[in-house]
Amino acid sequence: MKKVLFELKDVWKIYCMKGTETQALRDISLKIENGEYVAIVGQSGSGKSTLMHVIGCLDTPTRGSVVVDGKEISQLEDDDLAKIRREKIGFVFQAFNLIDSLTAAENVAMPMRFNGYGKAESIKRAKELLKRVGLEKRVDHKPNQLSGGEQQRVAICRALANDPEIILADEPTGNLDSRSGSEIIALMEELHKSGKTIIMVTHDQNLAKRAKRQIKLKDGQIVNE
Amino acid sequence: MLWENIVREFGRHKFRTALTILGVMIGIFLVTSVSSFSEGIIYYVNDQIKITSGLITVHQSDIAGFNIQASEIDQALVSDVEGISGVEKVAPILYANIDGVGTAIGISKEGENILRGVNMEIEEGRDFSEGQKEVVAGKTFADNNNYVVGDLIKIENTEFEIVGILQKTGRNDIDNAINLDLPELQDATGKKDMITLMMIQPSSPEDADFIEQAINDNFDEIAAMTDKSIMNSVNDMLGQLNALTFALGSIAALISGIVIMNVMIIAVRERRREIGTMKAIGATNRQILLSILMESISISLLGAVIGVALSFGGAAFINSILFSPIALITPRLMLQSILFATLIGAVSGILPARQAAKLDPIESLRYE
Ligand SMILES: Nc1ncnc2c1ncn2[C@@H]1O[C@H](COP(=O)(O)OP(=O)(O)O)[C@@H](O)[C@H]1O
Ligand SMILES: [Mg+2]
Repeated sequence: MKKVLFELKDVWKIYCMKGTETQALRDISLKIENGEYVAIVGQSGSGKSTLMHVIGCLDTPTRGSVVVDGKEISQLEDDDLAKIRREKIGFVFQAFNLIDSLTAAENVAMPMRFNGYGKAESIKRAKELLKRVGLEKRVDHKPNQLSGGEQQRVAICRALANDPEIILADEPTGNLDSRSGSEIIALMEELHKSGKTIIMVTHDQNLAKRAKRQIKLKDGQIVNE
Repeated sequence: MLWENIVREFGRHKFRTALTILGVMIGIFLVTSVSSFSEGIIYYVNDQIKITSGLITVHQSDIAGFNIQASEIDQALVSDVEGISGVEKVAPILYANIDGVGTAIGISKEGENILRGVNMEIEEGRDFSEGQKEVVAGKTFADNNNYVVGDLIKIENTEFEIVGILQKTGRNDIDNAINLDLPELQDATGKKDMITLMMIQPSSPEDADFIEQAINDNFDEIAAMTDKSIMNSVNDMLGQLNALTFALGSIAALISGIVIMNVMIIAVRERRREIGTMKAIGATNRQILLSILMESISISLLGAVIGVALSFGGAAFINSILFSPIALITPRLMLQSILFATLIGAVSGILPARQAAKLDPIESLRYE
């Protein structure tokens, strides 16, 4: 059963800084259904991250409507948005964004802890997830004891912690060498096969081509589909 | 709540955390030590009042310091006092410090009847008899020296028999002393016709104030206090102590509050990105707020626990200066100090915690 997970209509995002206006998103309309594998491409500054943030309920548009899983996000409270991010969406960032003071397992467990699960239970699932990406020997390592590729795999496990439907990844290979990068992409494709909806920002054309669908941004507008 | 995170954060900045804890610790140590003094007085007086309730205490008018046992009165004054109208009974008491024994309390049978209405029961054996070389030992005294009924004990050069042991009263001055007939103690110590205090039982409670007045007006060498006026003077002193405690407490709260707030504001600033990440992966504003607040309270609590532990030393120090075990750290005082620190931690954590909760996740994620 296909259902529409994201529906954006006439979305604008305008930043005002020191008097100058930046139109980061200009009149974006799009629909993403469950099970899709979407690549968002475009040059630096074209609005890819902004679009991700809007889709991921981290940011609200200046104008236009964003419906996520049937809910208009402009009408939701901070806590409802946090709940959507926690339960429906897993984020993967370019810079991994792990918590330095926590171990790999504790990092992965965090979204579950925010969701109200106990420590033991969360850590147990975190270790299972880390095992699935081949990091069973790294569960007690701190981020600074891990390579970039390993850190990103930990971050992907963290994104999967609450078993969300959707994975949003903003240039997940941007800070990695090509070998680690392709491992991450292989992981993403595996997740897609297992039924997750993947939305990934990349400016690597080769990666983008492997996605089922590409959305190309230029100066905040969608230029192809 | 992410306790694991809080614990790790402490580990990440050991020195900074330690200094902050030290700040709280010093404050709580000072406040608790000073409070232990008033706490001990309250405790002691409440206990004392149970025994002297309704009675009038008469002591030498110019005794030095706190130590009422340093008072010395001529026993001849007892009959003068007995002549005052409204006086029902007078119990003369002699305290003596005996080498190798400790405190001996010489008391008449009459006096025992006045004083021993309250929980001073004989646990073993019997009471001493008048005119006999017999003593009744306090429980702690007997236990510490392994005395049992029938043992002999030497007061100066006279031998006495322990004929009874009192039940434990919880008051060190009774439990760790021996009681004997007043003339016997006067004989043995050579303090003929000397006593330490008189306890007066009025014919009716309404007479107490009049008797107190009459003694204070008509006798130069002795002074009288009803339990009410003891309470009043103690309350006066407690009021001054409380003012000192309050001043110290305010300073402690202010300093440790500022120190904690400063450290937490720095911590939140350093962790902008991490806090933003936590929000991005689903932490609510409330969860962020609480975790920063908990961190700040934890710092304060750690300082408080160490501070309270050290204040036992502080109380011991006060007692060593005063030569009497007055300062006392009760569970109530410990709880009070810990709650005080929790409050400091909570109040000083509010601002940084709200800053953290308000952080925009995108702002903190964007610049990498
Ligand atoms: N908080 C902000 N304030 C001002 N301008 C911003 C802000 N965030 C993004 N922008 C601007 O919006 C545009 C799109 O940025 P972004 O979505 O990060 O692009 P991309 O991810 O494609 O590189 C850029 O011109 C950027 O400078
Ligand atoms: Mg970007």
